[in-house]
Amino acid sequence: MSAALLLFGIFILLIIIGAPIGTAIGAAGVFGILKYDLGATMISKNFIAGISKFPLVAIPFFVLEGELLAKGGLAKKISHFITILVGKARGGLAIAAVVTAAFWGAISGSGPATAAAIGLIFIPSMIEQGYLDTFAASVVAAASGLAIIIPPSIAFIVYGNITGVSIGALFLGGVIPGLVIMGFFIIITYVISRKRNYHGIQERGSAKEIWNAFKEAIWAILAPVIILGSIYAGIATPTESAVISVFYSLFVGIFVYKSLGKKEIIDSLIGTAVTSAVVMFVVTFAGIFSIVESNLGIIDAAGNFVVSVSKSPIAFLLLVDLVLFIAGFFLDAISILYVIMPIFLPVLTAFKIDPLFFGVMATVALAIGQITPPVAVNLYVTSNLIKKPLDQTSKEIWPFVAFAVIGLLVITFFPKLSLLLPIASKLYTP
Amino acid sequence: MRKLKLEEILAIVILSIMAIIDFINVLSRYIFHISFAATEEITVNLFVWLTVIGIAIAFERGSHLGMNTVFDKFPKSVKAVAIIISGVLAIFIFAMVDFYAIKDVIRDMTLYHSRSEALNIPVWIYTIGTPIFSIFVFKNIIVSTIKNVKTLLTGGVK
Repeated sequence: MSAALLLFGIFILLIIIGAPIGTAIGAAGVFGILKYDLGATMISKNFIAGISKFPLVAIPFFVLEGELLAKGGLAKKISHFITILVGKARGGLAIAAVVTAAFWGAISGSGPATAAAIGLIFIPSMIEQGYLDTFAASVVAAASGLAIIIPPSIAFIVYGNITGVSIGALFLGGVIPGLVIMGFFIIITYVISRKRNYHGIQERGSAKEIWNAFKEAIWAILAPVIILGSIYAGIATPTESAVISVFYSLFVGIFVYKSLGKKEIIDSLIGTAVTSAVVMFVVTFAGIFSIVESNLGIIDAAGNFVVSVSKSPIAFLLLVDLVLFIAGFFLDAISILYVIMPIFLPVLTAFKIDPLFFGVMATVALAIGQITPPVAVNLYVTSNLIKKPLDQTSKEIWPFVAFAVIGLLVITFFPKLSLLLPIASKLYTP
Repeated sequence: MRKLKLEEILAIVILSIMAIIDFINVLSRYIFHISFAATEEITVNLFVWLTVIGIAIAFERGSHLGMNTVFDKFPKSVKAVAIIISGVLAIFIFAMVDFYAIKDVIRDMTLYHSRSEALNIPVWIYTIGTPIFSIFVFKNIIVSTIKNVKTLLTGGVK
């Protein structure tokens, strides 16, 4: 196991000194190839092959759609509608933030992007209404994790790319678990708001006001209908539905709301190139690292160990939950998918565990990882919005982590929640 | 509007082409029932180029994912060393990618003459994009490393 120690040692050491995760995992992988003589030509071949896959092209397109809709002011419209709808309850604004983030999750496939779009709108108004700023930042960060559970989702695209499970089916599998987690977040938000006496918003939403806000937001509401509807009906692949949604957002932003100008479109394009490259930087080098892992027999050895300690399928699943939960503190979702998941995947057949269900469950665990510091991408975004350091904001995150873990256990024990929609849509047969 | 950098212009152009090509393909498939298989080949290869350029811009903006918790507690001198190590390694891995990519390009031009599956054009045309656009990656790693070390040593926190 000295090879494993060496490779993981380099990877972890570089992360500790603050190197980008892509650099750290790339250096460890390239070092492994050179030291163990695994064929250096594969460095460039796999760098290119790791990116040039058609299903992965859905990533920049979904990111671009989210950017265009956010810059087109649709996040504001949808948040206004949802706030009028649920804002009167105790902690109304915080609950509206949770629901809006869940809804935005059906437009965007990225946690940090959702945290930025929703946080900009809700955090200032929550602070104005007397909410603790660190609580506001934590609510938004936690709820933004729903973006990778509720389709579209970058995590599902990458999991499908690794395992060959249909990405469209994975998307549908995430819908119900996403709503379950959203439910748990609403409960804890309500409980905390009651305890701290966070009031709801004053203005009452009359039927007419709700109807007007709905009419204003209808174009935003239609976006996920188009994305999910076209996949559910089986007429478009995720990449196709992503590109359709890009042009839908352009149409809405330019012609309906007239809020997208040249500057907004150019900023969205550049922003998308960066956001998608940040993901792909890790994807492609982590892919190389995982090949090195498997060529050196590290994956087999670790897999055998996992089988030897898990006495039953449910014990295995709980072990996976635990490992992903712990890994989520220190790593981002993409590197976990490439570095750790290959250990578990070969074991699935032995335990008769469905790979789609497994992907959904793992993604819920990865979403929790997005809010557990020190590596907590969503919390990082919202901490910057309130201009406080991460460790100060993170004091308010733990109730959300605890409730998300309960949700994760529910999803682990009831695979039906993940499998119901994919099977009903005939996109998936277990 | 601010003046755009060359790599930003390239990112805009490449991403736009990808979106337009794929959108036309979707339309033609559903409306005219004609599908251009070649579009997939072009899109995925443009995606490789876009990724390399995007990685470069992200280095300049400091947008890459990472962990600062331990780094923030380092004394200044250790921070400077860490920034330099991180920069040098980033250059090293891209240099390795480019070195073997260029080798592939040369072999394809002189010996193998491999052609792409869908469009039947020489494969090296796609491959060569990675080393070419990596120039932006090298440039931005060097510029941002120097900038970060400088601000560190002149008193600012990274």
